[in-house]
Formats: sequence, structure tokens, C-alpha cells
Amino acid sequence: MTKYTGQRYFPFLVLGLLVVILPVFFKSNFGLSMLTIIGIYSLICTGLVLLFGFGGQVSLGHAAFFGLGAYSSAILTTRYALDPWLALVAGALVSAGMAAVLSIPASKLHGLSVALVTLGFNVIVFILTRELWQFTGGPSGIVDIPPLRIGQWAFRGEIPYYYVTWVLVWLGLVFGFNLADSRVGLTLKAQKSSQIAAEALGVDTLKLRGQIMVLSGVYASLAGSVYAHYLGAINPAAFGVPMSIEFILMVVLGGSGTIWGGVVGAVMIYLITEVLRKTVPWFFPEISGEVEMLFLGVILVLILLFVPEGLVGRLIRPGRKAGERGSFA
Amino acid sequence: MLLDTSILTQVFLSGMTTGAIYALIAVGYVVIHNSTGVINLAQGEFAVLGALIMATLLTKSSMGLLASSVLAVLLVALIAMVVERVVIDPARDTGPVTKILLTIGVSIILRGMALLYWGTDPQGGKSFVRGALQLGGLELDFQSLWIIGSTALALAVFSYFLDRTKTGKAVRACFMNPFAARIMGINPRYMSLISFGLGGALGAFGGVIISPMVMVKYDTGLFLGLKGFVAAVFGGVSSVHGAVIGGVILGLTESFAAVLLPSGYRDAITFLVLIIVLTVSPGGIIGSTEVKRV
Repeated sequence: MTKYTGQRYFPFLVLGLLVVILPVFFKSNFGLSMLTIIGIYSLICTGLVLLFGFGGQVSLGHAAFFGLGAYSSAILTTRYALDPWLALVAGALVSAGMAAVLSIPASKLHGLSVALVTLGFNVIVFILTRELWQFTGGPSGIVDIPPLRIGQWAFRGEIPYYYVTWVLVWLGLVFGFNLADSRVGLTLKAQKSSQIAAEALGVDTLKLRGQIMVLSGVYASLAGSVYAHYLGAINPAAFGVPMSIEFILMVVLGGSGTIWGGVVGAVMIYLITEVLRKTVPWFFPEISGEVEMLFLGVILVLILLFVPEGLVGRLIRPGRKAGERGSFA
Repeated sequence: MLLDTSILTQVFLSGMTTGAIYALIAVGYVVIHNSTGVINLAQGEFAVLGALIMATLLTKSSMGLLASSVLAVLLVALIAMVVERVVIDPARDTGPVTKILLTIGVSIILRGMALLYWGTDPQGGKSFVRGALQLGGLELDFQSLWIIGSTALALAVFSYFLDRTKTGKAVRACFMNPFAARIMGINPRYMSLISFGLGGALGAFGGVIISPMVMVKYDTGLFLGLKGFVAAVFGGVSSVHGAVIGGVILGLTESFAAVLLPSGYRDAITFLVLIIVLTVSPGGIIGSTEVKRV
């Protein structure tokens, strides 16, 4: 907090400028859609960074909140003709409510149990999206989700969604950054390093952990709503446990000790996955499944063993050892 | 009446059969957790590898059913020990969260390798026994009886090892008090290696005996492992007997729930149970680690 305001916010200014000018270089629909999807993942991962890095908790089920947002938006707009923005808010409220309910058991428990409770929650949500076909369309999902709109202007094409997504990411980053430096953030850090000491100083750690869980769930839910309107069609496959694991991988790679870890991890894992999807079939032409997961697993293990603070963490403060603050161990 | 005795018997038997598998995987969790503190989410992959390796040995070699089963179990135990040396041992000083994420990484790697080698097609095993036992108008499937019986035998042998042999006692000592265990000359790193071997063998054994009933493929392990874990949590995560009871209860619950609810919801019930158990009585994991942290 010793740096003056301009310097502290310099990275956000750079990101803002990048967001504005990138479409000039990525003119193709393919490039823009890539950036939009990366933005959606970045938003979820930023929420996860807040939960891991500042809350000290791990969620193995964030794809569930992503799915809650997407399905809330899809169901409310297709069945009840609700305005997409209201549906987005409704989805965020649903996710916040579920996160609050989950945080009742989760906040009482040790970090590991939080991981397991959220994992179980993800499985349940996934099954409900598949089985409650009267509402969710079952395995084939929901199609013809209307686009986002402002007044009479419906968002068509890539550009509007690109900006909506990245404005949300930018706001999410700035909010998270300020939160980390605020009184709330400092108490979060305190309860992470020692719950008992923090409670002795009058910090209501259970309430705090619940709140950060809710915030993190809302980030993922907003991402889900935008995702649903952007693609126009969703199905359960995008919201299962493997997706949650992929988000974890992004955050571990980027690093959970800084607010930038989620965005960097999302960009890198997205690109790595795309490259693998293109190149793996050259080497293993007879295999039809997703062999790239083998490589993603290797990356996860290598990063955890050798760069536990994540890539951004390593860049900011080189030479920190495993287990120090910055890795969420 | 919809549920007559013969249907109830069938449901009970199938619940006991799946319960036996869950129990084997759950005991694998417990033995690894007890000696190393690691929740090994790759436990389901060990079961799948056991089934897949056995199926391949059966079709591609001249080995008989028994020989290929034993070899499959030993090979998976070896794989589990390699995993322990390469991934878990170097991370022995990190926190529980890093370790659980590492085992997730391992499970993804094993799944990917299985996909590379076996592809996406399921591999069926050969039945050990055929036919059914007629008992006073009730039909008891030999296959199920065999699974339940051999699981009981395997668990009895395992309990004997843990309670009566010197190595087994050393494994338990490492969990009770790693520091004291080290003073007594027990090497915790060696015990960690042994417990991974045991966990791998138990999982693989489970995979081998279900392979005639379930079409096992590369990604079966994800849910199998998670359910074994639920069974372990049910029993308190640190108790072998608790894990066995947890497995049986889970198997029976799923089996009877499938009668009452559409089968797609079966897994949802399982994980609802997990959340409720973790909330209401977070005994096992939480109790022990929280005490250590203070």
C-alpha cells in the first residue's frame, strides 16, 4: 500500500487498453470467439483466486456455479421470456444462495472438506441438469437462448460479447484487487495464516469465509450467464467435474497468490489445450478421445511440484519456496 | 405388492455386490490416508487399471483367469508405488490441499494413459463363476456371492496384516504419531510407499472382481473413485472397519434408491449423502488434521 494510486493501478490500465485495442488485431470471428471464451474462463478463475488465495479454501466444483448461471439465464429467458439482464442477476442470486448454503458446512470445516463438499455439489448439479429434462432439456440441453440486448439492440456477432465479457473480467479484477487491500482483505489474509489468531482478534472467520465463497460463486455465475447468451445453446457437458478440475489447473498454473493468476492461467491453459487438440491427432491418429488431458495432468503435477506459487507468483517474487504464502498449501 | 421377496433379495444382493467394491476402494483410501495423510483421488483409477490389465492379459496372453488376475493386482500395486515415489514423496512437506491436487493430476495422467492404450471401448472380463444358487424359491446369483465372498476374504487378510504383522503395525504407528514412530526406528517414507502399494492392490482387486459385471473403460475410475471416497467418509476416513461398513451402506442405499427413483438420480443421492455426512459429522479427516494444526 506504499505505492501511490497511479502506479498500483497501472496493470489494470494496461489490461483495459489491451481489451480495447485487441479486436483491431483479432479481426476474424475465430480470434474474437477465442478471446471471449478465454475471458469467460478468466472471470471464473479470478473468482477462484479470491477463494484460494485470499480465502484459503479450494473449490473442486466451480463448474457447478458456472452451470447454475448458464442454466438460470437459459431457462428464465427461453421459458419465461425474462429480460436477459434480469435473468443474469437472477442467476447470480441463485448461485449466491447456493454458495451461502454450501458455505454453512464448508466454512466450519478444514480446507480439504470444502474441496470435497464443493466436489459433491458439482456432481449433484451436473446430474440435475441431465435428469430434470422438463426444465433443462436433459443431455441435449437448451437451444435458442436469446441474445443479450440493450433496448431494441440485440447483441449479434462476436464484438459485443467480447466487450461484455472483458468488461466483467476487468471489473472483477479491480474489485478483487481492492478487496485484497481493504480491511476485509487483510482480515481474510489474517484468517488464512492463522484462524485461531484471527478469531482471537475478533474476526468472524466463518462469516468471512462464507462471504468470499458467495463472491466467488457469483463471479462464476456471471460468466455462465454470458456464456449461455453468447453461445445460444448449452448442455450439461460443459459443467461437470472435469471442467472444475480444468479451472483448478488454470489457477494453479497462473498462481493463486496474486489477482492476475486466474487470467494468466486461463489464457495459457486455453492456448495449450488448443495446440494439443490440433497436434495430438498427428501423433495418435487412431485415438478418438481427449488425449490432451494426459498432458494437462502432467502440467498440473509439474507445476505443483516445481512452481507451487504459479507462473505469475514466480515472476513477481522469484525464488519463493514451496509452502510459503502465495501457494495455497 | 410391487416389492416381493425375490425382488427384494435381488436388490439386496446387488447392493451388497456394489457395496463390496466400494468397500475395497474405501479401504484403499483409508490405508493411504492413515499412513500418509493423503486423500488419494486416483484410487478409482487403480481399480480401472486392474480391470483393464486383467482383460488384456486374458486375451493377449495364454495366462489363465487366476494368473492374470494376480498379475494385474501386482502390476497395479507396482504402478501405485511408482506414483508414490515420483509424485507424492517429493511433495511430502506440502499441505493437504497441494497433495489432493497432486493426486487429481495423477488420476488425470493415469486416465489419459489408459485412453492411449485401450482407447474408448469398454473391456469386459471373464466370469469367475456362473449360474445361480436356488435357495427356498430364491435365486442367488453365484457371481454376486463370489464377489461378496472374495471381498470379505481379501479384507480379512488385509485386517490380519494391519493388526497382527510387524509391518502392518508400523503402518498404523505412522498415522497415530509420525514423530514417535520415527523415534522407534520406523521410516515414514518407506511406510508411505508400502501403503500406496497396498492401496493400489486393494483397488485393483476391486476392479478385477467387478470386471465381469461392469464394462470398465478408461474413464470409469472417476465415479468409482469418488464413490469409494464417499464410503470412506461415511466410515470416518480413518477406520478400516468403518470404511467397509460405509461401503456396504452406500451400496445398499444406491440399490434401494434405484428402485424408488429414476436410476439417473442414483449418484446424486450418493453425493448428497457425502455433503450431509461432512456437515453433520465431520469426524475422520477433520478431527485428526484440526488437532494436528493446533
